Amino acid sequence: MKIKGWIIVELDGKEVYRGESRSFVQNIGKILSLMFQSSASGSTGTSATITNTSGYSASIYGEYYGSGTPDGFAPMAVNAPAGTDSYGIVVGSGSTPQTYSDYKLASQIYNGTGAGQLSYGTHTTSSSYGSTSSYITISRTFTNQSGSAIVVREVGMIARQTAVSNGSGDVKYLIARDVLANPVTVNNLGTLTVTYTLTLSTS
Amino acid sequence: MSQIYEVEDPSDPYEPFKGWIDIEVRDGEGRVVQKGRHKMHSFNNNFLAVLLTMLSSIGNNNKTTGSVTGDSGSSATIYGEFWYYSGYSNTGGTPIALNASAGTDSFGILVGSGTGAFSLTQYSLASKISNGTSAGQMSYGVTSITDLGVNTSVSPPVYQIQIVRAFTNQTSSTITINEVGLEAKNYWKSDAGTVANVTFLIARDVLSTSYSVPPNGSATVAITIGVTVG
Repeated sequence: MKIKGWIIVELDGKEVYRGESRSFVQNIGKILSLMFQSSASGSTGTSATITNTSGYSASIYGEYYGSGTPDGFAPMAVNAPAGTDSYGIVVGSGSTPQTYSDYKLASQIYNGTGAGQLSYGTHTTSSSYGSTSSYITISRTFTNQSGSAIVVREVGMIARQTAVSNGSGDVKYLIARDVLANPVTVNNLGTLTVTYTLTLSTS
Repeated sequence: MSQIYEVEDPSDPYEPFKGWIDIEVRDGEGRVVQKGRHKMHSFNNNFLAVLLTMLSSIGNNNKTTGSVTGDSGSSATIYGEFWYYSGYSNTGGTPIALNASAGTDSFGILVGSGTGAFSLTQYSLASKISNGTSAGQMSYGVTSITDLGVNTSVSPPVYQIQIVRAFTNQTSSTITINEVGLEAKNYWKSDAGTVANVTFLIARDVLSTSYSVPPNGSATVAITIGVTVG
């Protein structure tokens, strides 16, 4: 069995970059560890401290039960809606090498139509499960409506944990960051699509 | 079985997820009679499916669901998030719990006697050794899970999580272990009731060596999962 991660970047629908993803950062290890440590007992589990995307310490859980209204739990949500740049797949212009302790992109390109901004679209997912090979994907599209070309050098995934009692409890944390081997220039009115793929194969 | 294991495979230097299985067999006097290490080759389709279900979550949705093949072989609905906006409290859950209690053989580390080859579509061990003290059964201990953090002594660095469980043979015959599995539980509920209680296999390895556990002996299985983080 082999397990691999890939990043695919398309520009105006044409693939311009495909590289092996070497992108996970320590936060994904922490959240997986917490979830594994859960006993599914119906009681809130232990928490751990991570550095959120603002650079502050925050508590996250692997098992959580809220109280009050609204209440609920989402441990590692990435499916951000259009226009939201605080979580989901994100892109940036920084080229600082990735390290396991990264907690944000080096220089995130934010959502918008102003200079140096891209319009963040929705996410799409796909999957295929076979007996010898399988994959899952999550993608997001970014549109340049700024009037000038924008260079993308890094991509990442920010997860959102909502462990909510009485409507409060929301942490955004980086789980993956890759610096592209080749920067991608998005021309004005151009569209960039970033896809993370995780594959399993028996060969 | 508590040391920090290096998780590195020179033949395949980059894998996002990897792991090792260490097994130590002791006789009734506590002496180590057999031990070994095996690289995991075992994550299956359910592992991908539960990851995708979590990633597909929005973070403030009533529910985000996915599908796995449960350990009975039937398709089962799992949740990546679950909320109530009014009317109920104590809402929440966990998507991929492994911390099973002693005597529980429905999730956590499981062992079996089967030798059938691995497939991505597998949903159960080929022949699970059930918890108990009757013929062919072993007493399942508590599952303990230790967050070992980032191991920077290997390149690239690896975030390590160690899962350990002991299995005791309280029967009068030797029991042979040929396969090891990881089974998770997806559990969600509120005061209105349980919405998901699904156990599903996420990894299975057929061992290259059989491990024979004598009467009154035990086998301790340690699975160290590594997430490559650099």
